[in-house]
Order: sequence, then structure tokens, then C-alpha cells
Amino acid sequence: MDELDQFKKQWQEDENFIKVDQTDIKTMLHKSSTSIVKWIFMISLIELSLGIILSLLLPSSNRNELPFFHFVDYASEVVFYCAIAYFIYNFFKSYTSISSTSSTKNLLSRILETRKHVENYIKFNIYFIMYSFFISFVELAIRKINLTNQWGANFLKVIAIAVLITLVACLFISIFKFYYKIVYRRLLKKLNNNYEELTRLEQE
Amino acid sequence: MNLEQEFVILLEKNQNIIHKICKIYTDQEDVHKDLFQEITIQLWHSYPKFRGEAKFSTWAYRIGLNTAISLFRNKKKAISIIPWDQALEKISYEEYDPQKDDQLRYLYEAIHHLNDIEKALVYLYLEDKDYTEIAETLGISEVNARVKMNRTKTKLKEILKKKGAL
Repeated sequence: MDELDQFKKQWQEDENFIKVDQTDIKTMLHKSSTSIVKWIFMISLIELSLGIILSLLLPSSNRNELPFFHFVDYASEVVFYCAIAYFIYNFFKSYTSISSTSSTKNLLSRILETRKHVENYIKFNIYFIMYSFFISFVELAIRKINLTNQWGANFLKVIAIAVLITLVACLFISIFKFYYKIVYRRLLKKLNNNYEELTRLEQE
Repeated sequence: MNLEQEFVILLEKNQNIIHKICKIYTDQEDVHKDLFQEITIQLWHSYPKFRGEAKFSTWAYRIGLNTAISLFRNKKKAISIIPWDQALEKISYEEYDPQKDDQLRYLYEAIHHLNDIEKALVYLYLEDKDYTEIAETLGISEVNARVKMNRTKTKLKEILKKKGAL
């Protein structure tokens, strides 16, 4: 017999708990959940809408004079909205598949997967913003280059714009990283640890 | 009898299942209450799907463990931003009888040294669940459940021995 078995009977007969009566339970039923899934859902919704708001702020200038950029703009927009639709669809699909009645490992992996879709979405937004800046840079550079000017002056202009664009891009990336460090490392640490513990078990 | 009333009666009758989960995942009274409330909400949400499918207790411990394992909480603080209802303030821990419950107290203390997954395993062991059910609950294979269970039991025994309870 296992030494621990002596505890089993006592454990099973243990009644030494606070008593919750029917009125208490009824009150609880009408409270809001504080589960991590709910937190993640709300944060994700804010982030998803933030991406759309950001897309409205993307640099856009009057590009009619350059037909090539007009086309690039149009194509990018189509790609952008298709990608957003794809991420949002994935997010809702995995969110609705989260069920507290599934196995622990499955539950944890679904929650992390839902989160991953939003993370990819944010990453995509950042890359898209950088891409938009780059396109604007190329366009600006082409416009500002005056062929009658000396080569040196043109070069300086291009360098100045490039430095500016790089700085803005770096700023965006650091804000993104800082935000994730603050919000998610803490929120998901426990979840990740527990999931890793279960996964490690299967790999041994 | 309506659905809510049916659920409330079932939960009241089976509440110790939930209390035991709360007690192994926390030794703080306010966190215990928060966790109990959260598990109750989760149970209630999936109750329409559960009805009649399995034994209430079987279904309740699974949701209970999943909620405890995935709940976010600050180290020393309960996460709940919703104030505990005034009506529930009257609930308090019963006075402990050290003579009667010495062994159980040691057991709970020892369990608190384990990680979340190990706690779930010990809980399922103490509740006398078989390995098929344990494996299914955690989502791992039966072989791995056995291996991990043996390790966890050894770890628990070592802690109990250190405390002089074994």
C-alpha cells in the first residue's frame, strides 16, 4: 500500500470548508467572470481595432502624378484588408473553440493560440507601417531629387530622409516590444509555464 | 424547476469538490473565495451543454481544475476587480481542530509546494480517479500520466517526510 493512501480517506471525508448556500451561489452566477480568456478577449478586441485605426493614419500623399505609386497604393490596400480579415477570422475561430470542458492541455493551447493570432496581427501591422514608410520614402526621394542639382546635394537629401524613416521605424518597434513585455509576459507567464510542463511530459 | 435552480441545488450539494480545488491552489481566504466564484461562473456557463451527459462531480472537477490552472492572479493578491459581494462576507473559515485535522493540514501544506500541474495530479489521485480519466482530464497520454504521477507522489512524500508527517 502506498504511504500516501492513509491520507486518502481523510481527504475524501474532509468537510471542513466554508459553506456556500443557495443564495450565495445565485449571487455568484450573476457576477462577471475574471478568467484570463475574458481578459485576453477584451485586450485583443482593443488591439484589433487599434490596427484598423492605425491603418487610417498611414502616410498617404497625393500620388496621382506618379501612376506607378498609385498602383502600389491600391494593391497594398487590397493586401492589407485581406490580411486583416484573415487575422480577425482566425482570432474568432480559435476564440470560440476555447472550452473549459476540454482537457487542460487542449484548453491552454487554445488560449495561447488565440493570443498568437492577435500577436501576428499586431506584427503584421507594424511591418505594414514600416513598408508604407518605405514606399513614401522612395516616392519622396524620387520627387525631391532634382536632376539639375549636384549629385552630392541629392545624396544628402536621400540620406536625411532615410535616417528619419529608420528612426520612426525603430520607435514603433520599441513601443511594440515594450508593450508586449508589460502586458503579456506577466499575463501569460503562468499559462505558458503550465503548458510547457504538460508538453515537456510528452516529449520525454 | 428552472435551469438555474437545478444548477444551484446541484452545486450546493457538490460544493466540496470545488472547495478542495480552491484549497489546494491557495491558502488565502480571499483567493479561495475568488476562485470558488470563478469556477461557479465557468460551471454555470457550460451547464446547458453538460446536462445529463456525465456525473455532475466528474464534470465539475474538470472545469474546476482547468479554471484554477488558467486563472491569472497576482502573486500575493487576488486578481478579482469585482468586490466580493457583501452578502458573502458572512462566510468565514470554521475554526480548525488541530487534533482532528493535523494530518490533513500537513497534506495541504505539502501540496502547496507543488506546481499547478502536480497539484491537479495529486487532487485526481486523492479523489481516486483512474489513469484513463486522469490522462483525459489533463490531455496527456496514460503512460505519461503514470510517470508524472509517480514522480509527483515521490515529491509529495519527501515534503511530508521533511515535515514529519510521514
